[in-house]
Amino acid sequence: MTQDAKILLIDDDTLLLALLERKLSARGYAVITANDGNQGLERARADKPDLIVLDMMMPIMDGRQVLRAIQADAALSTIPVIMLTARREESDIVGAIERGAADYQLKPFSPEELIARIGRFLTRKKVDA
Amino acid sequence: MRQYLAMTLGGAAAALMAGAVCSHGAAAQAMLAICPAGQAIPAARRLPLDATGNAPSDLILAEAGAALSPDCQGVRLPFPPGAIRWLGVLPGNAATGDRLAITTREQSGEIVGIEEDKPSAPRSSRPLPSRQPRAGAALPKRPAAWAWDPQGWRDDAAALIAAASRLGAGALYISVPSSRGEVSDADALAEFILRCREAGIEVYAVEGDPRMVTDEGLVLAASRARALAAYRATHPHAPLAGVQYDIEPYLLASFSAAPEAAWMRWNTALHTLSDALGEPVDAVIPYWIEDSPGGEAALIAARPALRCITIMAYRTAPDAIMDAAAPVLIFAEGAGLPATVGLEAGPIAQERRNIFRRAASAAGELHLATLGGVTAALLLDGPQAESGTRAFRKSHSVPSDPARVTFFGRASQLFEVAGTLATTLAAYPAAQRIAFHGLTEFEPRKTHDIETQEEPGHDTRRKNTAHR
Repeated sequence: MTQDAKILLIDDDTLLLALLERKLSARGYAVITANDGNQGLERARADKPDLIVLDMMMPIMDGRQVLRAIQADAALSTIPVIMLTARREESDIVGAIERGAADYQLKPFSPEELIARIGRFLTRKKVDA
Repeated sequence: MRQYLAMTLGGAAAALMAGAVCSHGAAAQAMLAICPAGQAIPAARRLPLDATGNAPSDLILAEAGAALSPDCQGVRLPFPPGAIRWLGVLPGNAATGDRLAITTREQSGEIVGIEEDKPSAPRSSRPLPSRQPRAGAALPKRPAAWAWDPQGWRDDAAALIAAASRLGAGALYISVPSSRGEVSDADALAEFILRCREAGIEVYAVEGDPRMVTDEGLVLAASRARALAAYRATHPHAPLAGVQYDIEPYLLASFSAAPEAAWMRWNTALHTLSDALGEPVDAVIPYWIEDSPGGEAALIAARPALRCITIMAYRTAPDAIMDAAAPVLIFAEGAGLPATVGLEAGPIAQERRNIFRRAASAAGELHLATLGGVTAALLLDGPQAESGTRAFRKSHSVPSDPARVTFFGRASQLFEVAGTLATTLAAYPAAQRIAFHGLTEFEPRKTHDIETQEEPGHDTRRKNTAHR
């Protein structure tokens, strides 16, 4: 497990952001947060996280736009992105995967479920490296 | 971000482009708009909206001349703002058929909410496994009672314990105030818990406030949860048996427009509070949670944060209580969650259900206007015609029957029903005990004495609303 990994959380739900930040920090991850897509993209470029958790629906710049920008940026395009979505429509999920998301997590969820997904990707990334 | 849809008001209701200012003849007209939350627009009414997956926004009723920022969308209405008596939002899942119901308080006339008026239907389309009661079966735990007023255990612990003993209670849910990160009167609390233990009574802390699903309210609630965790560390000889959260997010004004978002935050709040406490919690839920959009998903997601659930089955007839509680008991069984069934004995406000039917013409007292995916309800002082909205005329009104919902302090009737229920409930493996809410010996304050506002997220009042 890569407990020293750096994770960027991008979500406008501040309650959820605070909960995930606390849970992930308690597991030894370095956590960076952003409340909107613009800020999230800036933080991604500045901090080069090992994994990004990205909410689909946000003000200013939504998750789809952020994902597109990440995929278009050679310095960021290899970072695994887990999309958070409240939308149950298959097209949203398929679309996110097709646009390059590594995985998705439907809202609402138990934080432990998301943390398990994060751990899986970071472990795989470490093995691949 | 909310994806604003094309405006659906046609006819006399002219669309306003974002940022436009109304021109000639608009002084008497109202404008309905959806804007990102918190924008400084002079508004006659403002309702917070928070649809699932969208940024917070406000539904605004303003003078038609008000300037909108570019990220707003609005429509002009032919009515002046003063003619609109009430502005509400229809629940997102409402099919908006031909009948709507507006519930009002009988005494004050205050409007409680609006919903589609549908005939009662079976609660769940899912077939439920049968649970046949066995003669003589009993619930594993003795009853519980809520005692919300902390004065009860602080000032007259003996009387409270005696009342619980007369009831045969095995548990009390009490309010435990805290200040500056510490439980107030911690030693008195420990003493009370020890005395209860001698009487065979477990003591749980209880608190609840819909504002716990807001940023500010949850920060405060988490602080109080940490105070309870600190109490557990400093008084290990007299621990609380657990902490119960009766959050009732459905009492928020924004709930009806976006129940999924409110339930999501409820889930986040329960995980946050469980974390702060360092142990899973007891969540109080309405029996209709599985019928509320997003309610069941939130309950499933909250499972790791829960020690048990308490199902408020707001009914007084045994069959009706079982109809209400059984689906959630089945869910609890599948989730491996112990469950308590709560019955209401406290006062509730008399309400009236006002039924409106779709008007044959364009004239009506109630108009629905759809904007940005939100269906706004506009109740006027009198019938007016508007071709661009859906108009409804008042048909009739029906007073609510509180005796269907609460035992109104009639302890003998309550205990008789509870006795009948105990055998029936025992057939459900998840059911652990029955809990009584609002019994006068545990709630010494009168209703009119408890209308005090406390800090967000710590409401020691009982909230006898939303019993459906």
